[in-house]
Amino acid sequence: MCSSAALLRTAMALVTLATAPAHATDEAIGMVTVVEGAATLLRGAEVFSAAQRSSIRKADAIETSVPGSAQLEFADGVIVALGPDSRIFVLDATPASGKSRTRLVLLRGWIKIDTGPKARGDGIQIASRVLSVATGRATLVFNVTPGSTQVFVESGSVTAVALEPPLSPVTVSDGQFAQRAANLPITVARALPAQFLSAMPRAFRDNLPPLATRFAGQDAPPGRLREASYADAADLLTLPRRWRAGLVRRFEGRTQDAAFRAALDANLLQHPEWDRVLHPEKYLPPPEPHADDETKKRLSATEGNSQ
Amino acid sequence: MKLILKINLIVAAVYLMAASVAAYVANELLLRNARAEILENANIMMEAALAVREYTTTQIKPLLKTQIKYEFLPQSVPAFSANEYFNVLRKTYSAYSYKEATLNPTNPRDRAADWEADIVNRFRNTPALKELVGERDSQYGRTLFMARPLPVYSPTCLECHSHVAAAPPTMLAKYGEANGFGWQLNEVIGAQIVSVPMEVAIKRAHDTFRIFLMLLVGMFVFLFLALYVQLYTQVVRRVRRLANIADRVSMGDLDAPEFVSRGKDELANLAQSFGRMRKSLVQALKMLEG
Repeated sequence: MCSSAALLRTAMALVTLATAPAHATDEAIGMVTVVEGAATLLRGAEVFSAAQRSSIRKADAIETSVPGSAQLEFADGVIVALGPDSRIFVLDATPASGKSRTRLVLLRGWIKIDTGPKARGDGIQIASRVLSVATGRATLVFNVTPGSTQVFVESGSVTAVALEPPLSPVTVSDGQFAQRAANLPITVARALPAQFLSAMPRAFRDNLPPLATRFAGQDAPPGRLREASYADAADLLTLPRRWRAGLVRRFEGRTQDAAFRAALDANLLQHPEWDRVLHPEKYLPPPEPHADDETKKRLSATEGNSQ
Repeated sequence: MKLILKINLIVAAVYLMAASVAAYVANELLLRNARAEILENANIMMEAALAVREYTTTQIKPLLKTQIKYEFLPQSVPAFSANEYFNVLRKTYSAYSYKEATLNPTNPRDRAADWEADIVNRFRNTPALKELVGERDSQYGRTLFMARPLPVYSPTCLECHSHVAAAPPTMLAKYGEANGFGWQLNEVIGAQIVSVPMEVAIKRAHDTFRIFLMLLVGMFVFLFLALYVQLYTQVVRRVRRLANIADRVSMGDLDAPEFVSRGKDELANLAQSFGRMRKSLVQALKMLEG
């Protein structure tokens, strides 16, 4: 059981996750090691077809088809399996030369995470809109549905923090199941609900096999499919504000596309920071008063005083 | 009593005695072999069960270790695997059975029946007893059973069977909290019991014995007839002819035909001696008359 201080530290870390922006870099932080069905990669403002051995970079969003699945392996040994119709956003991960930690946002669907034997004490952080989980060395299944977020801890233990509104952290131990629906507290159960089990991809019942070493040095560049449409980027653009930093700069170029721009404008309430980009005229400084008018005012004022 | 009847009676008596002894010994050997075969079958079944258990423990269980955290899979339990293996076998050999009869099982189908509970308790009360073989009547007729004690030999067994709190939640979800707990290390909690039908092997022994007996009787009849024919043609008929000629000669009929006998056996020698005696007699009578 975690002490209060440890929980507080974890909560602080989760708050960091919740507010950290994602900056894209060119450095590979992991690799796609398995693709079944089709998988796409949203990188920059373009959509690529992800293949086995495609590298992963910070700020990438990876999506699987239905049916389909994929496995990603990060440089710090963390293995992530995506179920069908699932999408994750890589906020951050440990590059080969760096010391940051893997931080993911599951936008929808299922993922199974195995931090692997090399995981450091702070392991991995995975979040949805309503729940954020921090692990040490652990294996867990994380599921995001429109109504709630669920997590099952296969081994190890995790600390879960409710987001929006933030609530006290909860420790979820080996074999326990936690769930949070929006605006409700986290509930923890010892038994796995049958509904969760039946919906979970069957492959998640097995261990995730580490495969990255087989493909070391065999990077396969993802194939470019298209410029990102608003639909491709909408999941990211409508994330909670704390995860949206950097996205305006990332997709600003796409405003040249009339459809993208129109969609942005139509959904402006969900990402108001785009108002400045779409309607810069609103944000121009007010025009300075004309010099002749000023002189006239001063003169009329002087005349009035002398009379 | 005629000679042929005397000889036939003696031969029949001797043959019957020999055949009875042979039949008794053959029957005993066949039954003993049948029982040995049944025991061998039981042994093979027991060893097969142990092999399946070993395979499950060393190869299947580790593979399912992760899956069990999501859903309890009885396929990872050695007893379940052994039972399932024999259930498939029973589709072809319905009278054969294997059970890990347990006094306090997790899976209700392993609960020991009355006669099985008696066996388990004998093992519990007699730690030195390592195997028990016996016979009983079942729905498949007379059945041989072989039983071996089933102790809690590994602490890993206690991960699921010591107490409810230590048991995997998925197992509790499947079997509940009422049974299969409180086991102690090295305690005999059940018995592996193999049942093998005796009727098939015994029937096969009886069938073999019946064929053997028929062959014995057939051989006796054949030998008896062959002996009778040979006795009649080689001995009785020639002796009768010789006796008939001797009678006629003794009555003064010197014209009686010669007894012709080919061969060099004792009767041929007798005929030749009789012929010489007859010639000497005829010559002597002629000398007396002259």
